Amino acid sequence: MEAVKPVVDFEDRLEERAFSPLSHISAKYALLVAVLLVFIGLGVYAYQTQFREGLVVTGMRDRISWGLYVTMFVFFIGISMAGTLISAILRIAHAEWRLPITRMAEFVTVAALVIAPVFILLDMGQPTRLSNLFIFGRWQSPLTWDVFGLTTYLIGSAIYLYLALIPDLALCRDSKRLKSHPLKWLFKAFAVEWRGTHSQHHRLARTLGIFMIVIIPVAVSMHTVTSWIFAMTLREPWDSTMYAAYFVGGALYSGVGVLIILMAVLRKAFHLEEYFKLQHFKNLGYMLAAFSLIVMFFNVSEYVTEGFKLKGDMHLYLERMFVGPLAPYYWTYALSGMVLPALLVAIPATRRSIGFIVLAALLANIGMWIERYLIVVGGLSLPLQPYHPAIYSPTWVEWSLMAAGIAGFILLITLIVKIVPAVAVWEMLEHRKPKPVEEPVEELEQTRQPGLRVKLGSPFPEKPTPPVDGGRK
Amino acid sequence: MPENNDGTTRPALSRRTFLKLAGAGVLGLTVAGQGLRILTARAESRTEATTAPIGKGKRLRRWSAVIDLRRCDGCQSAGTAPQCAEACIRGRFLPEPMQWIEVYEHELPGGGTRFMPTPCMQCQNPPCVNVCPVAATWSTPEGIVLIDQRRCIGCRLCMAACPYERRFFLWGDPPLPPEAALVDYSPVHQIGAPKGTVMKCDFCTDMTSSGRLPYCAQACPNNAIYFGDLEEDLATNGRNVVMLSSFLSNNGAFRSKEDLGTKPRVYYIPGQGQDVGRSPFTKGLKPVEWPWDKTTEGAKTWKRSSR
Amino acid sequence: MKGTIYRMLLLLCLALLAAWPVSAVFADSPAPAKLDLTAPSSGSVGDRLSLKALVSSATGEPMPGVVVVFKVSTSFMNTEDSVELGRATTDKQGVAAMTYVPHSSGDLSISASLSGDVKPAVKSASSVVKILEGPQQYDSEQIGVSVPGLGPWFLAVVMGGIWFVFLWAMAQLRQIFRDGQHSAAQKRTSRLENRHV
Repeated sequence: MEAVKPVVDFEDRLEERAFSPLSHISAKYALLVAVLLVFIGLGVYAYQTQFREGLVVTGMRDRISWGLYVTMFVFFIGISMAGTLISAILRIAHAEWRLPITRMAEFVTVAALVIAPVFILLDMGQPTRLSNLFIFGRWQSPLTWDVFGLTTYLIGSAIYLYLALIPDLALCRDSKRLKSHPLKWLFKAFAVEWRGTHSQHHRLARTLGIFMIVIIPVAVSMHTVTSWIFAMTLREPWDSTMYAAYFVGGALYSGVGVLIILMAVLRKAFHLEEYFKLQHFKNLGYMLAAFSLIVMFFNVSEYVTEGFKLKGDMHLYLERMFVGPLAPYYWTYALSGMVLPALLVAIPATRRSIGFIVLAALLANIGMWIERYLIVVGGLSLPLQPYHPAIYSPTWVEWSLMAAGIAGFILLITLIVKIVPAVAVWEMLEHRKPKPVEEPVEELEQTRQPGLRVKLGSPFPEKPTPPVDGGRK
Repeated sequence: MPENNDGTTRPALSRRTFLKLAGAGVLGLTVAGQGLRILTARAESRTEATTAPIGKGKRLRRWSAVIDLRRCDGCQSAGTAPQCAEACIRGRFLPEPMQWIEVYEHELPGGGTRFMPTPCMQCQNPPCVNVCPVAATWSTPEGIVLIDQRRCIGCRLCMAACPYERRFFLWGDPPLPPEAALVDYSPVHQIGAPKGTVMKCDFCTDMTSSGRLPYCAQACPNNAIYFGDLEEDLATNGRNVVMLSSFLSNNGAFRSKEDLGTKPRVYYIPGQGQDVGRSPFTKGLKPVEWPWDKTTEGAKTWKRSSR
Repeated sequence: MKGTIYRMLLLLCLALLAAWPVSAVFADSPAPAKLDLTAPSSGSVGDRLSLKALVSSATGEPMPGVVVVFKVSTSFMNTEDSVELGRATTDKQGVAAMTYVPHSSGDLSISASLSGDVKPAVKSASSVVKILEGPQQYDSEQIGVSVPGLGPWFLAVVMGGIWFVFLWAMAQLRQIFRDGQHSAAQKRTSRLENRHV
């Protein structure tokens, strides 16, 4: 047993911080997993009941035939935008402050995309016939588009996450700190013989470069087809050509929100204060505010055009939403879910505190959850025949399964941050390395980059660069 | 030819590679063949006609219904709940909140109300069929939208898509009379559909194919429901036969929510029951009743909305 | 004021009295007494059949302005009835004509009768037309817009392109793996060489 050397330089400290969560499990962590498992167990019990009795145990009925499950599906699909946005878009934009947070954003995407289809399964009356979607799938159906989109997006995001993970897996494999880690074989297997050679670097950079360009339209199409599940029907509140854009905007908004929350949690839990700085929260906060303005713009555009014409039964819908029984939901969403987060970021006094930015993100996500609920349940509650609007009240089965879904999402992230490092160590190391002089080809390529370089303030301390081999021999 | 390490030549296609390729090829062909089989099987089962063609020719029936609102008083004069809905419930063993044909009370421009019996509109551009992910609901060549509850996955996208709210979900195991067990399941009558699937009016395809009128048309005491064939251009309410095209044109027929472009096959002749002596100001309907015993073992009944 | 109204009423009565003989003159004019129906003896479904009814008086004069009802007796869904095909008014030659496009096959019994309560009653005329079954669907509705060249293949190409990139990325991983193996092997060899030297 060799004594742990005192942490001295940036590189060593980074490795220590990033790898220490992998090497031990604290009591708090175990407790969190246990609590999450309790929630999931409750969900399993609730689902057993639902499976035995049918969907009659839910609050859904013929008039409001979708409820919390579909709301949660849309919500998780929305959250899944985080990874693509932060890692792909910011990577394309060469925003260097993204480096410590890309990995987490990709976790969020993959975890959300694993949980989202579960809610479709929960919502199905005949879940054992899931295979019919593949055997008899009609390519004309919006739900089939969603199946295509979700599979493609999930697998694409997983590949993307994995590609950017390879050098870190190799670091884990080679690290002295993780010498006796039980998952060492896993690191070795998945590090695909990464030795950090020039050709490997070049190949990985090229693959990532092409992949991030492909993954962005895939992500946009995912949110588009999710909105089309609603927009392809003839129900007046859903019958909107701007639904796809609205969903993409909402997804960006809630995705950034979840990322801010996760960043704050991991910062505390894994002591990553050096890497997740106020500047990161501020930058993501600016994005949050910008997306909240976009969502506000969509709200105004949607309801002013609908409200001006009052086509069909829209007067009843708008009345219910703005002053009627749905008004508490709508105004909570509008004021505390859209306006307040933007204000919290816009006001310098609150912007300077990480707590307020996290609060803004939390409010944004609660608001967006309400917005999805309003879309699904509010849209269905508009009667299509002459009768009084129906009421939907979810039962304990639905609440339990919703809690279980959220718990499952948190659990996935909790597990994944224990298996692989939560920050992209290699990318941050590389960023600090001086540009190698002996590689003029790389230099040429760097100079050929289009003027996309956006630098929103580098979070790294301007320290003298450490030696290239970092004392790691 | 490539050389081995020891300098000897080896065939360009080694046995190992060949076996691998052959295996992949066989697998690929099997998968492709299976896929093709499924696709073609679907095409066959979904283009089948449910009714014999007209006469001895090849012309297919184009079922449609005309509901003469001038003759519909919501069964106020008979003093009962709407007979069309009740006959449908009894004939198809519908569980409690389902009314495949439901009489809605609409406001009239001059005050008062009229009754509109509303079955499935059997749209020719059916939103429900368009959105179904597994082709569990489809349009027959005769223009009837049917549901195969053996294939339905219960996603309820069709219910969200239907602008007439004419689709119903089996939220639980419905209470069924014992005689329902004697019927073999078929999409043309839907008796015996499992829980977790969608049901709706099927225009009594099993009866019309043998020349009988659907339950609703048979039961209407005022003969307000005509059932007809756009191809033979005839319709009947069980008492009279009319020429469908001129009957529609001469009486200013309309279709429900026509501007949606769903092209329904159910037509309405405007009116409020005046031909059977109803005043538009006689409001109210008697509620429909379901005769099934709610205590059937294992049955879980439900209401319209959760409260 | 009252006087004016009484005077007007009186005038009205006088006018009615004066008109009486005129209507009597109409009554005396020849009444429709005979109805003849001309129809083709055969046709097939979808043909345009011309039905003509000649209305004449007892003396054989053509009767203009008389409404004739055309009917066909039929059986549909086990209900038998006489179905009205249409109505037509006779012209100056006393001929009421309509075009009938049969949608049913068989021996159709088409009849013509006068509309309303005509006194004395005029016997209706009938004729049997043999209609053969037609091959084509008469009622057909075109649903959807077909854009030439656009179809599921487009979706397949887009999806295929994306999945190709996924597979390509996997292939790149294989290359990275090989590069790594290669460099490891090189290092081993150089180390071995070093040791030998």
